[in-house]
Amino acid sequence: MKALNKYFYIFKISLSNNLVYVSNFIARNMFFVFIVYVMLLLWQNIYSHQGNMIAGYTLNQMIWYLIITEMVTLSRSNVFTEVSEDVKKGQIAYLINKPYHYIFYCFSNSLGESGVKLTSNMIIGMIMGLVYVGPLMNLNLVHLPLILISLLLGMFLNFFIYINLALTAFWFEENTAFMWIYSKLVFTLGGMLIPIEMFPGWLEKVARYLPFAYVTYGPARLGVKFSLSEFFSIISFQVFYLTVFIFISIFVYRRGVKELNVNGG
Amino acid sequence: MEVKKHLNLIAMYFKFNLSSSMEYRASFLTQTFGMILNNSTFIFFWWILFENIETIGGYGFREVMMIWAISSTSFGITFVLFGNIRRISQMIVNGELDSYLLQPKDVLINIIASGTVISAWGDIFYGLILFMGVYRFSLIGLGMFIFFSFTGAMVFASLLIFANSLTFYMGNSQGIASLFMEFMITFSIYPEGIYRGYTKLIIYTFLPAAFISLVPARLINNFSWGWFSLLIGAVVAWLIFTYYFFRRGLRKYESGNLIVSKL
Repeated sequence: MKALNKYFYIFKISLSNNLVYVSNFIARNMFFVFIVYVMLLLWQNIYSHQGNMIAGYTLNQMIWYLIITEMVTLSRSNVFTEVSEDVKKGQIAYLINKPYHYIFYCFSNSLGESGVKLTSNMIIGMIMGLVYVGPLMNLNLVHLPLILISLLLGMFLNFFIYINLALTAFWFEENTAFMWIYSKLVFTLGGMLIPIEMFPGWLEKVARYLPFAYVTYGPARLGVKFSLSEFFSIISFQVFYLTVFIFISIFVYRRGVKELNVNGG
Repeated sequence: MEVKKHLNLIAMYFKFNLSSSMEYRASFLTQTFGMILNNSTFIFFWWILFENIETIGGYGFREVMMIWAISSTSFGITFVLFGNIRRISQMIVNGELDSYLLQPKDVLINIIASGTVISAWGDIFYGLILFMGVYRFSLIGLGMFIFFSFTGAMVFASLLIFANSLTFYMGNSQGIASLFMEFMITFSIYPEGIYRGYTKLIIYTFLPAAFISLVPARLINNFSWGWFSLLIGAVVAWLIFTYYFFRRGLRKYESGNLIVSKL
């Protein structure tokens, strides 16, 4: 337990750092409100012509779905840029000899940042949902902790995929393209803007087996249409992919450090 | 005469910026293709939507791609020609305008044209390719597309200059400027029919995103002199307003005693 204390302190420091910049904080939240508002306009128009139900979702569920997917993506930390810069600028040389594991140092650091973002996004998301389309249909409060678990797993999975991509900086000078491609895969195959039930059949099947859907689609699906069987299926995928990406990141980091060559100081 | 001088300055900067962008050719190509790929993901979004729904706000797939094409090229032109627009606020705060004030050229144009954004070339090409893809090729159509991409760029640039110049009046407005940019981009890439009431009023006045892509798309499909005059009127009004807004604000500028070398 004592071994984990250091990670808890890193988390606490990062938490207070992220509470300092108020203007950043407000701008981020304004963006969230705005983007969901435009989505609301779009879907209101679509539902007014198509009837009450599209791909099994009502307008109310569709807007809450989008609020949850945006909540996950907008609460991500800046880990990709930070780790890539650490590696490229050689700052990592000062971080690998500390009495902690670099990957878990980054994770605790990210938790502080994401924690602040997620809390504010959840409050704003709930207010927006209530104002825009009213309370979420058929929500059973007992399910909330389970939905929250899936949401956190989605965020952790997102973190470990990002850190893997960032660690490629050990070998590639310019690795931003990987981040772009990944974020667009979440955007599309991850069902960030459209539930994957709306995809053509074959694509839906493919998307269900890929990790991207478990970053955004999984938690949002559980949020608006909870069922125990689906919960177990989504959580299993999330835990599976999370474990895979944690192991890959530890492996990639070990290999990378062996090849590390820092000039000067 | 005055306008010609300004255009010459912009052309000179464009030439220099282009040759410096081309110095690192691999980086230029990666950023350009990266941006094209990045923008293409929105085709996926609209493709899925139109697989399920026939029209949205009176637009079909082709019309949505058309407003996307115009917005993308307008955005690209803005940042290729006036890359420093996004840095105005930061430059005011840091007191970096001194070197521009000493030069015998128009301060605003000198500032905004002296930088470029390489990835914005990707936005220009993406818009062009998309337009060619959805609009049957005709010289008149292409001519109109290029013309409206420039008017769109002027509207876009005007609003960004306005938002960044707020720094003269109220302190660092970088946050507001990036929000304004998001508003303008987002409002210009969704079908007009989804906007109602106050939102519609806003996109025709205070955040004139309608003049970037929605009005031009309407004109390309169905030209009318009335709408065309309104568009030109809006572009000119915004250009004049932001120019004077910046000039007035500049009187409040205080040097930061920062020594910078402008290369």
